[in-house]
Amino acid sequence: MNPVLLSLTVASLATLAATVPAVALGTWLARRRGGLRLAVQAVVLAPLVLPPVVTGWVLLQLFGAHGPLAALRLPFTTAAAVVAGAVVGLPLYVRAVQLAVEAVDPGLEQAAATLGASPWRVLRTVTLPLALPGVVTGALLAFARALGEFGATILVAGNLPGTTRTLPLALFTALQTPGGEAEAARWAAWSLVLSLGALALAEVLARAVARRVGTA
Amino acid sequence: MSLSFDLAVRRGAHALHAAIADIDGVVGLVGPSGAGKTTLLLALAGLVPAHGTVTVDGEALHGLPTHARRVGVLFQDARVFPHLTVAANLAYGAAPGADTARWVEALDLGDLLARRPRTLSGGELRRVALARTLLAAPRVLALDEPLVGLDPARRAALLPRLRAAVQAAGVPTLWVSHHAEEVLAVADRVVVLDGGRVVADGPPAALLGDAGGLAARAAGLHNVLAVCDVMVHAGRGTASGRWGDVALALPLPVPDDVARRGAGRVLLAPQEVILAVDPPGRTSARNVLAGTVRAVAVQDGVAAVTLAVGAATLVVDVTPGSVTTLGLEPGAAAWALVKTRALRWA
Repeated sequence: MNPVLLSLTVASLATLAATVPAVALGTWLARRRGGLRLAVQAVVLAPLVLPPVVTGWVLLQLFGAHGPLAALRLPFTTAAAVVAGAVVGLPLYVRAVQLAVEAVDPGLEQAAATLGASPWRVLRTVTLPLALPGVVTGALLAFARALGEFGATILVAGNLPGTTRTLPLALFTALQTPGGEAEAARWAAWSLVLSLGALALAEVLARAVARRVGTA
Repeated sequence: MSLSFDLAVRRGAHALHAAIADIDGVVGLVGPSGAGKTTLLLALAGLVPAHGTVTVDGEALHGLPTHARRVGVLFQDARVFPHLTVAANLAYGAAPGADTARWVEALDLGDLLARRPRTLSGGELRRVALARTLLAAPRVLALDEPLVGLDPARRAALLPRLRAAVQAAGVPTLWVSHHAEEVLAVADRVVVLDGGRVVADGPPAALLGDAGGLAARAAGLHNVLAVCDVMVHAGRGTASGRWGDVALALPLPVPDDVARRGAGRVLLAPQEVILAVDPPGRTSARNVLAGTVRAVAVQDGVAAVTLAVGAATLVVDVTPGSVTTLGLEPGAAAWALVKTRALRWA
């Protein structure tokens, strides 16, 4: 697969993979108080502040030949690139969901409960629909972040043409190759277009969804 | 159906402890701000932690989570779901076999069903919220100032609809209100909360007419005047009637049932009466009532003067300064000047 298509595929799958954990963690963090919440939040947000190579190193310890998840045979596959993208995108996703859930009026959830809705139904029919603009924003931020992932990817997925050589890796490789400047410029231009496009789409979609759910 | 509860709630420095037994029909819950009215409704619905018991027809609700209690709450801010249409809001908690058409009709929601909540007015949102609550087939209704924030015209238009819908629902109902007219119009029993405790419990006319009493103060003190021999003089723009042995000029329009029976009740807010200590000359006030000061009570910068007029009494609010300047003390003669328009039919 060429690097553009591969990057889009990897970032899309990473976003999909991150969605369930991001929504669950974001909702949980929005509703919990106390020490456990702070600890979980620190772990979830860590990839945001850690150098990506450190995140990649941690993933290698988990999935590598001697790691507890070695049986999955993940390293140096497209799936490894997806996992790396999902992990670095997760903090942005969780944060966006958390803020959106915290912004939902608890009064509406109370009203739903007085109408006979169980906590699970309240979550599904009131909280999450009202938080949807935040979920969409989070998804596109995670997508954009996964699209640009380099450090963690090269550590756990390597730089294999067609399977793990995403746009940033292709750019890096082109720069390492004599006479590759023109190719590097092409990959850089693609990265710019895709990343900025994702951000613009995030803005437009979040607004459209907010209008749809009546919160804007 | 009958509701009884004995609930204690502790929230920071505030404590609420209220026991009310055998509620069937509509109970007006009144009291000053901060008395604990809203907290009591939330505790009934299981929305704030509370100790004690709540039973409906002997069945205990207090151990159940909110969604299993079926205590229908009409919140002051309506809380209509913004992401759903009016129709979807109504369907949200609808009990199996609930008669949607009936409540849509009763609360006049037919034209609103496809609308989004943010396009609705405050009164419309209240109607949607009440219909949504009634459709959930509640065992108990808790209405938190259902008419608050509406202008008098909308209030007057909405009150009969809400009252009819609540009466048709036929479940024990707590109706929080700050308005004496509202309580008189809807409730057959009034409970007064003050400082987190029940301080009075009885029929509305007795409590609200208890001029100068705490109950009346809590409900927004009003004099309640029972009038008879009501006659309409359309040409003169007034009606007339008798309050005890005192003739009164009464405002138009006279409600149909009052005109039919020739008797009814009018409310008079204490701050709308002017007191004079000399016989007034010619004034625009149609009612000049001669009386004797019985008592003067000063509280929170307001002097409440109790005036005996014939066999009845009126409470009049004046400033403490006026009490000194006019020498208002028990035994003093005084005249109450009451504009016809200051009297309102209850």
